[in-house]
Amino acid sequence: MEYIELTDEALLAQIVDRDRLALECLYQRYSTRVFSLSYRMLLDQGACEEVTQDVFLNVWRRAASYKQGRGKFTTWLFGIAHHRTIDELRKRTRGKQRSVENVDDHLNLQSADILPADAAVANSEYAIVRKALLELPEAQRIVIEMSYFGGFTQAEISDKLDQPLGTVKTRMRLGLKKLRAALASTLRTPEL
Amino acid sequence: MIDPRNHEAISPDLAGYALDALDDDVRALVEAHLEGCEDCAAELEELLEGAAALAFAVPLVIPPADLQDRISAIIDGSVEGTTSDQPTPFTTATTDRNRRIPWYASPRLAWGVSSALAAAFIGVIAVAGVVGTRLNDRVDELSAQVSDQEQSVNAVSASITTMERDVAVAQVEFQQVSQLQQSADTLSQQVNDLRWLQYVTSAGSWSMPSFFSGGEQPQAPQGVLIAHASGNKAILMINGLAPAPVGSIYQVWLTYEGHVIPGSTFTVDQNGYAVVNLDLLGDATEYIGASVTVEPVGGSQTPSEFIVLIGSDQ
Repeated sequence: MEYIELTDEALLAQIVDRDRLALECLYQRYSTRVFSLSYRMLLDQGACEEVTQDVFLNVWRRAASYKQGRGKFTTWLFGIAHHRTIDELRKRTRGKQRSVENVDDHLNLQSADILPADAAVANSEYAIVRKALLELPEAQRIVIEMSYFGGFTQAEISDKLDQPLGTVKTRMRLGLKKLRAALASTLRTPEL
Repeated sequence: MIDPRNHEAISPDLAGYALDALDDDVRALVEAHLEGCEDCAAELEELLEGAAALAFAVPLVIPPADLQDRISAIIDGSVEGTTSDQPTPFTTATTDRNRRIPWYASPRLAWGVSSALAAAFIGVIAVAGVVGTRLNDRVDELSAQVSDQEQSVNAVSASITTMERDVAVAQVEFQQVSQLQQSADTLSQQVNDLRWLQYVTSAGSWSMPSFFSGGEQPQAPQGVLIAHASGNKAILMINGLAPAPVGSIYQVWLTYEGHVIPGSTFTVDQNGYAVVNLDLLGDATEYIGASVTVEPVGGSQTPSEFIVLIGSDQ
C-alpha cells in the first residue's frame, strides 16, 4: 500500500486499526503546521513540542471518534491543536492582565527553514489566507484574530474593545463564514 | 440561567465555540444545545472550517527531528502495556524546560564572549569601518537584489500551486524555488548584517560584544550587545526575531549587583530586526547577565518566563 497516496480520512481509518505507518504519514503531512500554529501563539519551543506531541497522541488514541461526513479531517485536527494550545496559553496568562497592541502583528511573520517544495506551497497558502483575512471588514478581522491567535474570549474582547458582547459575537460569526467561503476552493488540501 | 434548548439564545455563540473563545459555562451550554440541534451542528461545521483555515495563516516552523520518535516511544509504551493509555510524562522538552537555569542565575551569562568570537566580531567591525562609506550603496544594491529575488520566488511559487500534482514536472520548479529562496535568504542576511555594522561603525567607540541566542535551530533569532566605551550605555542589536504576540512586547533585562533590572521595551520590524538603546546604571563590566522576554505591553518590573533571547558565550 502506498500510504502517501491515501487521503487523510483513509489514513485515519488505518489508524483506527492501529496502523503506525498511517500515523507517521499524517505526522509528516501536518506536524509542521500544528507545531507552527502552536509556536505562533505560545512562542515557546518546549511547550509547542508538548502540544504537538499531545495532538498526535490524540489522533492515535481517538481516531475512532472522528466521524467522516461530520467535518473534514483537517478541521478536526486543527481544532484539537488549537484547543490544546489555547489551554496552554490561558494557563500561562491566568491572572495576568493582557492588553492588545497590534493584531496585525500576527500576520507580519517570517518563514523558517523548511523544505523548498513545502515552502513554495506553504508560502502560497499563507499568502492566500492572509489575503482572505485582510479582505474581511476590519472589525470582523480583529475579533477573529484576537480570539484565534490571542486566546481572548468573547467577553474579554468585548471588554478590551469596549463593544457590546452581541456585536462581538455577530462579527465573529460573519467573519468566519466569509473566511470559509473565500477559502473553500483555494487551499491545497481537498479537506478545506 | 439559559435553557440549553433555547436556540435563539445559544446559536450566536457558535462562532465563539469554533474559535475557542467562550468561557467554560457558555461552552458547556453550547455543547448541551448541540446534542439536540441539527441546525446548529451544521452551522458549527461550517464555522469550524473557517476557523481551521486560520491555521494556515502562520509561517512554517519545523518541529525537532526527534519529536516523531518521542511520540512513537510513548505509543510503544502504551502498546506494550508498560504504561496505560494515560498521557505519558513528556520526555525531552518538558525535562529540558524544567531544568532550565534561571537566566539571572546562570554563570554563562557573564558579559563578554569567548575570545575567538569577540576577536572575530571586532575584526569584522574594523573591516566594516574601512569600507564604511560604501555601505549605504551596498545595502541599497543588495536590497534591490533581494526584492528582485523575492519577486521571482513568488512568481515561481504561484505557478507551482496551479500545476497538476505531477511530481516529475514539479521537481524542476521546486529546484528553482529552492535556489532562488536560498539566494534571497542569503542576501537578506547580508543586508541586515551590513545594517548592523553600518550602525556600529557610525556610532563611536564601542566594545565588549556579548552574543544573544534564541535557541539552537539554524533560524533561531540572534542578538549582539555592545557596551559603549564610556561604560554607561549599550546597544542590543537583534535579528530574526518574530513579532511579539498580540498584547505583548519584548523587554530587555540586565543583572546588576545581584538585582534583575528591567530594561527597554521594543518591537521588531517586518524582518525581525531591532536596535535597542540601553542606559546602564554603572560600569558595564558590573553587569553579569542579560536576556529578552515577552511581556505585556508597557513592560514589567519582573521578567516573565517567556524568554526569547538569552545571553550566551557561544
